[in-house]
Amino acid sequence: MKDRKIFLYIPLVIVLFIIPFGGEYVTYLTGLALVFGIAALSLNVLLGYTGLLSFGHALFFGCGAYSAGLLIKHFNITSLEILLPVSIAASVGLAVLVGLICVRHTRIYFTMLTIAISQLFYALTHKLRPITGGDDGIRIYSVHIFGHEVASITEFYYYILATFFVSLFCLRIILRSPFGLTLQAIRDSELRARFAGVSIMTYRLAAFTTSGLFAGIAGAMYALFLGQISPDDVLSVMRSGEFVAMTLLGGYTSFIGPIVGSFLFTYLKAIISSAALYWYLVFGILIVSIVIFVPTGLMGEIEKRWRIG
Amino acid sequence: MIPQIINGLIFASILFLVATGLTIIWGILRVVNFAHGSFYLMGVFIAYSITRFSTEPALHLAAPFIAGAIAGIVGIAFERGLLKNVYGRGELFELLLTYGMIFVFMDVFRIIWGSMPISDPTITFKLGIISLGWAVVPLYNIYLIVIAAILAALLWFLLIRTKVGMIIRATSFDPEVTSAFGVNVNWVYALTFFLGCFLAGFAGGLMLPITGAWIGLDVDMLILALVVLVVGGMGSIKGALVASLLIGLVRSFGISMFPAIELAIVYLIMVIVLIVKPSGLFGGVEVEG
Repeated sequence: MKDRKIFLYIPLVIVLFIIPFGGEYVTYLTGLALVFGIAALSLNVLLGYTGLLSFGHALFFGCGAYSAGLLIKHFNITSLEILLPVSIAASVGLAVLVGLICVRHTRIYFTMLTIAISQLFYALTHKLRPITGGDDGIRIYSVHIFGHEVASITEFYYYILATFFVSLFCLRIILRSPFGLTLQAIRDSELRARFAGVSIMTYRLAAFTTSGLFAGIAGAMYALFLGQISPDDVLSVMRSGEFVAMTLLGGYTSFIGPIVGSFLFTYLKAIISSAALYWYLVFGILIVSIVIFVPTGLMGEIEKRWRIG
Repeated sequence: MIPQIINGLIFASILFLVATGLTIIWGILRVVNFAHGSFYLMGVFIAYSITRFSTEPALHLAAPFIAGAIAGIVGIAFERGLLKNVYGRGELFELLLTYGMIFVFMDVFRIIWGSMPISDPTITFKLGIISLGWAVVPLYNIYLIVIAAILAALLWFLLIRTKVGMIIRATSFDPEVTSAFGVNVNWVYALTFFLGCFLAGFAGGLMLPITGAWIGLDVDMLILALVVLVVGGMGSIKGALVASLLIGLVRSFGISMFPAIELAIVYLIMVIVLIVKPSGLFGGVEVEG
């Protein structure tokens, strides 16, 4: 059963590789979906596996994006091999600090705290114009990789694809490891896990940091892919909410659910917005219907029916 | 000083009305209504539509009450029609449902009232100005603060001194036992949602002459109301009052003294309060871990 499941994914992987033949717009959309997919996956480390709903996840996405953006703006460093590690380091550092405050709480209090702290950084980024460029944000004109300038959106798409597969692979291993299983044990019964001798706070903090790390990767790739970032785009509570919506749409009980959600979200948004329909209305009705009728999301439902989970 | 204090008090009054609605709904239903800012925005828009009919001051003064009542009825429809379907599934789904409604309301407002900002200061001009020692302020601003204070007093009276209030408080304490005493808890939930959404819509209507409305104000107001909610302590009306005054005055003085980072100061206060006293200034012991 398990081996057959892998074959199901092979056609999808092939499609992802040949996407650029579909034209620049499709490449652009798929690149976005992949980046958001990494971010939604990282959110689900907290939501699905640890049982904590973060409504401020754009903080780490934005941290990754702004780390890259600020290095380019102030130090003129445009090499991906420097930008990405720095973004990761910054996101991890921030996640540890914020995590120390947040993981003492659970449920709604955790959610509120993530909103508060992300809003604090959002407001600061907005107002510290000399450093961050304020609401105009930062423009990124060129990106290099080992001295070679990235020439096209298609080329960068493949870097995103590579980052996506590496992130997917790492998260799969992390969540399947004893560490991941312990997180789920804590989620299901904090008391029982504590009796088993598990240090709850340490595990939650580690989950929070892991989550921040991958959100930071997603943010950095997003900034370099788009070439333009602003606080409203990468740090706002609306962006945080979108990550939650993607995860919910695809299914937080499934490992690949958030990716399915990010693809659905990105394509639906593009299609509906371009048809000049009311995207927010559709989006809102979609969330409400999912919550009421299929709370485990698309993949949760499929896995339940087909038993391929 | 006086203009800052008056502005701070206006802001505090509005925040108090919105956050109290939020805190009552949380206290009784254990739902943080993310769509609460939308009910506020609905209030401004409805008051705008009402004041289109005439420039009669009485109509303009009545508009917030009508707007609040309509928002309250929409609130009941939302609670009975949608929200009650997810009770018992955990606060995650209740939260996400109200989150989804933000977007539904956003586009519905856009369809009905368009995307342009609206405002109508007629009543401010009609009521004129009043001199307060060294400063001259519009009479309407004073009226707004007084009416908010009266409403706060009425609310306190309703909750503490009446039978309905006793039933509401009993439901908040233990819905099951209350229901065993023959109280229809569903009715209490609907009433609570009406009350909460009325307060938000009423606050919105009051602000029509001062700030008006634009799409996006809903989320801005929601975030500030959430700040008040957690700083004051979730479920505490007294906390909402103190936190509204704190946030309102800090913001007002912040705008005149540190115009660049006034919002950051507000969020910083929230973060500090949550670190030092996780359950908020007047919160119970509902924090785990």
